[in-house]
Amino acid sequence: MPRDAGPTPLLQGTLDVLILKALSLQPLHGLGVADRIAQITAGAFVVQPGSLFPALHRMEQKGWLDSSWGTSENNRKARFYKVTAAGRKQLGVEAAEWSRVAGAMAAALGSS
Amino acid sequence: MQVLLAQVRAVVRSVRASLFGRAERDAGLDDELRAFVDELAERYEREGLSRHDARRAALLATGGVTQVKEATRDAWFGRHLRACSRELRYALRSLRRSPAFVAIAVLTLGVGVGGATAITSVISAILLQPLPAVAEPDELFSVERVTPRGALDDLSYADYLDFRDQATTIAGLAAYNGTPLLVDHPRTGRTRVWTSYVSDNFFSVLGVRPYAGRLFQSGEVGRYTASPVAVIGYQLWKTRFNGDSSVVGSTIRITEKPVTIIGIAPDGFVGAMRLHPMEMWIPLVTLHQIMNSAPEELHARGGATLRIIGRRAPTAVIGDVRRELTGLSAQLAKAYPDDRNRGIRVLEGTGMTDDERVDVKRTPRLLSITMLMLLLIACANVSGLTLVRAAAKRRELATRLALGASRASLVRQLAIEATIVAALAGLLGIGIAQALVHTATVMKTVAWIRGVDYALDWRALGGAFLATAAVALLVAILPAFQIARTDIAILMKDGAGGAIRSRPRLQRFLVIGQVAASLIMLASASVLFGAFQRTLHIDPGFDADGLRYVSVNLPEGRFDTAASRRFIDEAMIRVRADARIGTVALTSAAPPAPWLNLSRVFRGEEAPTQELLNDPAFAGGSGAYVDAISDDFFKLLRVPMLVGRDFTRDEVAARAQVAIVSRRLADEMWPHQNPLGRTISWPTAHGPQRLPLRIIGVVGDVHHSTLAGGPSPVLYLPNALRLRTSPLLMYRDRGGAAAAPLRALLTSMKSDLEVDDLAKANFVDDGLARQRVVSAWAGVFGVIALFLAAIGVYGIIAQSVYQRTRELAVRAAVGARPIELLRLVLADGLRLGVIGAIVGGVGVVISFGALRALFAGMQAVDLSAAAVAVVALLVATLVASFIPARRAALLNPVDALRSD
Repeated sequence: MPRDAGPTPLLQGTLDVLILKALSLQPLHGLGVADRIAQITAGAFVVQPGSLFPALHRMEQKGWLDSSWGTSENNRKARFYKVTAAGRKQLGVEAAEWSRVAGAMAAALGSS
Repeated sequence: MQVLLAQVRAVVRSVRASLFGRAERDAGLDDELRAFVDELAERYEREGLSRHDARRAALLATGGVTQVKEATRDAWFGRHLRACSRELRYALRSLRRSPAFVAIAVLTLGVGVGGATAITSVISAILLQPLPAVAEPDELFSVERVTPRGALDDLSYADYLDFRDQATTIAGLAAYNGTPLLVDHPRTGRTRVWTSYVSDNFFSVLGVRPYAGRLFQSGEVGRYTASPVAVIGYQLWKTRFNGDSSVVGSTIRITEKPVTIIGIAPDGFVGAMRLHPMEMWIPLVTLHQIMNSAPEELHARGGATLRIIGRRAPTAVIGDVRRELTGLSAQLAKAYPDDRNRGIRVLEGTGMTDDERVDVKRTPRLLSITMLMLLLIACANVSGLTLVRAAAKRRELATRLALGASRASLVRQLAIEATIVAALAGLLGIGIAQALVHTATVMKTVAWIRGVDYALDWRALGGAFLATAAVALLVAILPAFQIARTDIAILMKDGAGGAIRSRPRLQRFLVIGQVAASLIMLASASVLFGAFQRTLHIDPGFDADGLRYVSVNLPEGRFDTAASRRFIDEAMIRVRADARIGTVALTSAAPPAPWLNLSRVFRGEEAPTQELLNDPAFAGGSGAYVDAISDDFFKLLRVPMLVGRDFTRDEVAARAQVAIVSRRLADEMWPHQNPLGRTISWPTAHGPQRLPLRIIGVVGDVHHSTLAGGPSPVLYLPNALRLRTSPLLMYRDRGGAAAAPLRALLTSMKSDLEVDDLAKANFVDDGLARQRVVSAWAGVFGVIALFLAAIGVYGIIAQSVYQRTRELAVRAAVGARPIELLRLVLADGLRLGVIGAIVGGVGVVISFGALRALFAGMQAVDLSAAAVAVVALLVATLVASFIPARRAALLNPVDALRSD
């Protein structure tokens, strides 16, 4: 992709798996999740709030995340999300699927 | 599994939350987003922006907060529910704005659904339900004997035993018949109970299980003869024994004989005859004890007292049974040639004889055709109305499209509206169906539907409802699809012409069809009414005013003993001596008597031989009702003696070989001749009657059976006892003066005499009940049909006026007067009515033919009834067209043209 291209738009499925990964270490609030995603993808993906919040709420509905009110580092009241056991399982499944796909694509594009 | 559970829990949580915690969630979301923006703003501040700029940057980075909120809210599960409730509320509001449409549509559909369900319920209650409370009713069949004259007859016990023992294709064969008996019990006092006397295997063949106690078992015949037993019915137990459980094992007395009750039949069980529900069962072999008749009579081969019901072997089909039994019957005929002919018929499905079945089917069939037509009219009607409404709403729909509504949501809205209308119509339909079914139950007094309980057939309701709902939905959605494909600009711009081609031709056909169908229904109703009215005024041939009859049930059931003869003579002497009672007469059947069978009578010299009589193909002689009477009969009934004289008292006492004929019979047998002095013979199984009878008089005609059938040919014989064990005593009871002394006198003669006063039955009413029911229903439906047709016409004329607004406005502008515009529209409506009437006319001719087949005695083509119907229809059409026509006439051309 061109070097100065902006952030790549994310598909819904990839956003989900990134959120799960981002939260796998510790619970975070909305902004924290966005930061962490940017961090772990080395800036390639930047999540817009317009996609992030619906995704967080949707995943909470599906039972992959749990939310609770807490205090942020700036002493502000914020909603914190954490991964559930079901979420962790989902993360494992999706990660396996991604590496399979990536391997296949690499093989396909690598051959002439 | 755990994942699944977690997901389910999450779904439940979110549904509950979305239904109940919406405000909280919204507030929480607000807080969350605010916190996000604040955090982001603080971060920018730390990077060096001013507070104001930081905030702006944070908001920009977030994107539209409202949009984010919306997007998040959408992610909540309740989105669908909220959208649905929103659309529902919108649909309700929209419907509230056109109350007339809703009212008419709901009424139309409701009537259609309700009426269709009611009639289906009645029909299915009568016809389709098998014998209640028996096992595997499809395996049951009945055996009927066919006499040479084609009439149904019963079989003898000896015949029954032969069939039972020799047939191999059957699992069991049982015999039964019924009679009312007087029963005594300390709890009930003396009461009359319809009792069925049955073979010992009756209950096992039918597969009936007792509610309490036990039922008869095969092979216990000996025990029963020693000490008679009985099984009582559930209803009887509940009502007259008050559900007292100690009844089982207690003793009742039937004609003074002690009988032990051994069990109670299950709820719903009425015996083997659907239309003659029985209340008690006793073994056949004990009947002679109870009735004081000779035991040998049971086994006489010539007797004909029993009906037969059987169960085929599980491996056999009804055809096998039929073949085998017919073969056996032929064998028996050869073995016992002296006795009566043995042609038999094996019928599948039981509970009713073939005659009963044919009879019962007739009227419901007519009514069901009526209902189907009504349903069709209703659907067509609502379709028309909906199309009109859609045309009127096109601007609204176009506006919504322009504002961003999806086409799918428009279709959804129309569909929801149609569903609401259909749901309301369904509720109304249930109410109407219940009411109609209730009237059918109330009219149970009509003989042909006696003994049946009507309940709403829920499957019929479901079917009718679904059908109409589907139609309503379809018609409602069609315009939405039309709109969806059209350019919005065209929709908004167009005048009343509209891009919605609502296919006026299709609608015109619909309306013409409605009008035609309505005409058919109206004409039929009119004809039935006319016939009914005429019947009311038919002279029944006798004076029915205050006429009553009393059934004098003698304690001994034996046919014609000397004791009963003496009793009757004594009674008549005493009764005649009492001046308060007035003239009395005895008869074996009181007119109109629906239970009389037609017999065959012959001119004396032509009396056929026994072989000829036994030949099933023989069809000679004339049909006549036979009535055995006392000498005062004609005097009491005021039937005129046309020629000759009445019986004398001596002739009655001696049962002289004389007879009196009715005029109709005389005309049939001796046209244009004087029958006096000629002989007539009536061969019958009840003892040799072959000696010809000398005719001594001709009386005026009396209507028997139904008053609609025309006068009946009747043969009168002297002495009522020769035909009936408990003759009817007839008297006139003007002002109630005669009833009490008569009853007192009769009961004083023998303490256990049953005086059964059937005063409630008004003669004329009984014969007319069926016609009354049919006429009433037909009248109601005819009026409804008219109403619906008028609505249909109104709908299409209104729409056409709407569509032609511009044209009419132009006409008015160039000088057409209001009256001319009025005439224009009225002419359009009238044209529809006339075309519909012509099309309907064909249907009317067909329906008249059908009606005549159903109700004999109707005139061939009742022109006046048809004319009345046509006139009513055209008037309704005019009235219906008038409202839109008036609107057209009062059109202000300037406004009309401008509003486009």
